[in-house]
Amino acid sequence: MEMNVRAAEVTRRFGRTEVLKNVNLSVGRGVFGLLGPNGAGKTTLLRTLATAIEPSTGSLSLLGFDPKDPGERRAFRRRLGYLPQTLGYYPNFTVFEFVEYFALLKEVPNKDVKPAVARAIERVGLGDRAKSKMKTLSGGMIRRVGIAQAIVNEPELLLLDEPTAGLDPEQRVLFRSLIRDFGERDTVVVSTHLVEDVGAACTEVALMDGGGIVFRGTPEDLKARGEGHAIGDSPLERGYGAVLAGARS
Amino acid sequence: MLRIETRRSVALLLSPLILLAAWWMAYNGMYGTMYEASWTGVYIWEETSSTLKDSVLQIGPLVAGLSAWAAGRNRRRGMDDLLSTTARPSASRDLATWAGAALPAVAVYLLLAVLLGVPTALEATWGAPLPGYFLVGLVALLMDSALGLAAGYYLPGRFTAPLAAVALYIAHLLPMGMVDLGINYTFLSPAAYSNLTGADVFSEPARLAIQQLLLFGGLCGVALCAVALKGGGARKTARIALAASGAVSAAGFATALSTEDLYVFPGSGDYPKAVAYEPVCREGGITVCVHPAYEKLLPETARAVNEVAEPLVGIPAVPKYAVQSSPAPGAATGGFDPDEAVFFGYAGKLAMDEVADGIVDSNLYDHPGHEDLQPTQEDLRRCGKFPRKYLHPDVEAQTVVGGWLRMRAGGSRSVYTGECPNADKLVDRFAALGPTERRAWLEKNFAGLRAGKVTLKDLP
Repeated sequence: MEMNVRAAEVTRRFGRTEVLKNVNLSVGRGVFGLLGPNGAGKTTLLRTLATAIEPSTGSLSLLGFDPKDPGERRAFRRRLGYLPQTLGYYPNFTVFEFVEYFALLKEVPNKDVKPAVARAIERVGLGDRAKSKMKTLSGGMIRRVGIAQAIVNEPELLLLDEPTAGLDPEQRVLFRSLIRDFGERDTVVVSTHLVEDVGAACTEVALMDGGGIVFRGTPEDLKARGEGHAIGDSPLERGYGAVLAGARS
Repeated sequence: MLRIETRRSVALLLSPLILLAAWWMAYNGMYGTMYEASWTGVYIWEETSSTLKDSVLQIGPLVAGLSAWAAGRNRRRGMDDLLSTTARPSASRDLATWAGAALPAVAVYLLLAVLLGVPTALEATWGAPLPGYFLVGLVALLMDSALGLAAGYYLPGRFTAPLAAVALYIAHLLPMGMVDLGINYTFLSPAAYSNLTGADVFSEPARLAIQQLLLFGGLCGVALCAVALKGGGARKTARIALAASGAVSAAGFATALSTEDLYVFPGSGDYPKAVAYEPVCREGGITVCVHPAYEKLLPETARAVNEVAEPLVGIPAVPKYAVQSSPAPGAATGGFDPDEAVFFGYAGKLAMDEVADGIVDSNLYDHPGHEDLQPTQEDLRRCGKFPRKYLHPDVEAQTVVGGWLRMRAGGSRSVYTGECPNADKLVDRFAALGPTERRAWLEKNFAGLRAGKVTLKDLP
């Protein structure tokens, strides 16, 4: 299986704090879930994979490109979709303008921009709000606009940091369906603290704690790890709790 | 990108306001005064060119503030992370942001050029446009915008925009103010080196446009490269461009310091680049001559001058000519004998006051800036306090007669009358004399009065 994301011994420090510790990760096609408690390093790992920050040590190969090389980094970014944990936006932009702005920044060919934007907005269910200003949207709608900008360039690697935060149950179901579609063709890495997202959408999952990956497997593997563990309302949550307890013991 | 950036630019929204401010300042600022009465209606290319260039004083700081606001927007909106992961180089994105802020201002500047240039092209009878001035203003505008962008990029707070605008406004005014301290770096301001108001047709403008273009263009490049460096990307290219821009700017600075034009005051009598011209004259009680650029105002000027001089016609020692000359202190007299001529700078009705002062005082132009007419310690003792309006003992009698001439011609009574002594009362007393008595006194004393040998005690 072709690995679209390869991280080898990746470390990231902010000052004296080591947020990522020798992370080794290979991800191929499909939906890959990143679980973990607050402060585990999920967001930093996603930012590193999105080339928003550089690793302090270690190496990365993203869609076969070396992000250290400016030319390759640019080529990779054309194929990247990224939704950060906190989505900033320009309140006076319309939904269409906001997504169009990112289509242009991602160097979508000029002739394809408008249809690509319309398609992305439609896919997140905001077709009827395309002309609405961002400042008039609810938190959940803004999150969907964020997803639209992430997918506007039909990315080969989609990195989503807490994508379902703020979405209502109906939208969450639609969103899971959307990323499953993407996962069939491309690579999707989803960071979430909602274990049900993982169960419903992910083909593979990793659990992070203290800056490192402490578990990697399928959702079924995670569920299996929870057998006999008392804490948690669902098999996945019990697996999550059991792995964390094991890692910390 | 440019379309989106321009469409969302605050500068675009504010451009009508910027144009209005620039237009108002340009027309009120024309002829270097805020007083509407001094607008003579004569269009002169150099004044139009310098007015356009000087509009940067208003437009530049504004657009700098708007650029700073636009530059800090991504940081304030928490967009940095997301934007940094997009394919398009940050320099290209920043350039679009800069263009979005600067282009509306450039459009305002060009529109102002049309609004000022068209009537000048239709009506001016002297001179030609000064493209150097036009370019200095344009490049200074781009520089202001780029400096604002850099400020907003490095300090993306909400207060950066107003602070950048105020800082640049001060930066543009400061070099001109420093001249009074003996520090001549006026070329650092885009508004510097306009000719003295009203003097522009008499002397060539200072030739510092190339130096200023290098200086401002270089600084514009430095600011943009600093933004590119901060944004990452091709750092080596940005560093090289930064060094090159800095070198261009330094070259402009160094060459400006070494030009002979740096230490001259355009329009003044010692300015070496006087422009030759043949005055146009109208004969009358006093023959009135104006610069050909002001030919349109010759009839009005002749009427105003002769209204002032009418009571003096036929009296020996009264000047035969009233001649327009550069209003700069110590300006050349255009070949006219100062004993036979009275000089004025502003044509039209504005000539009235100057002629009234000059006709009774042959030494008027020996008091450059009227510096020696300031109160002495003795005067202050005599008056008891610093007089609000001051009448100097050396010109008291002349001021009274000049005030009377102005008053009867419909002008202002006097400039230097006031509290110590109250010359207004003396003017009134002189005006109340019978025509025969006054004429007799003038025939007997005018030569002495004009030579400064008549005192208040000699007045009837």
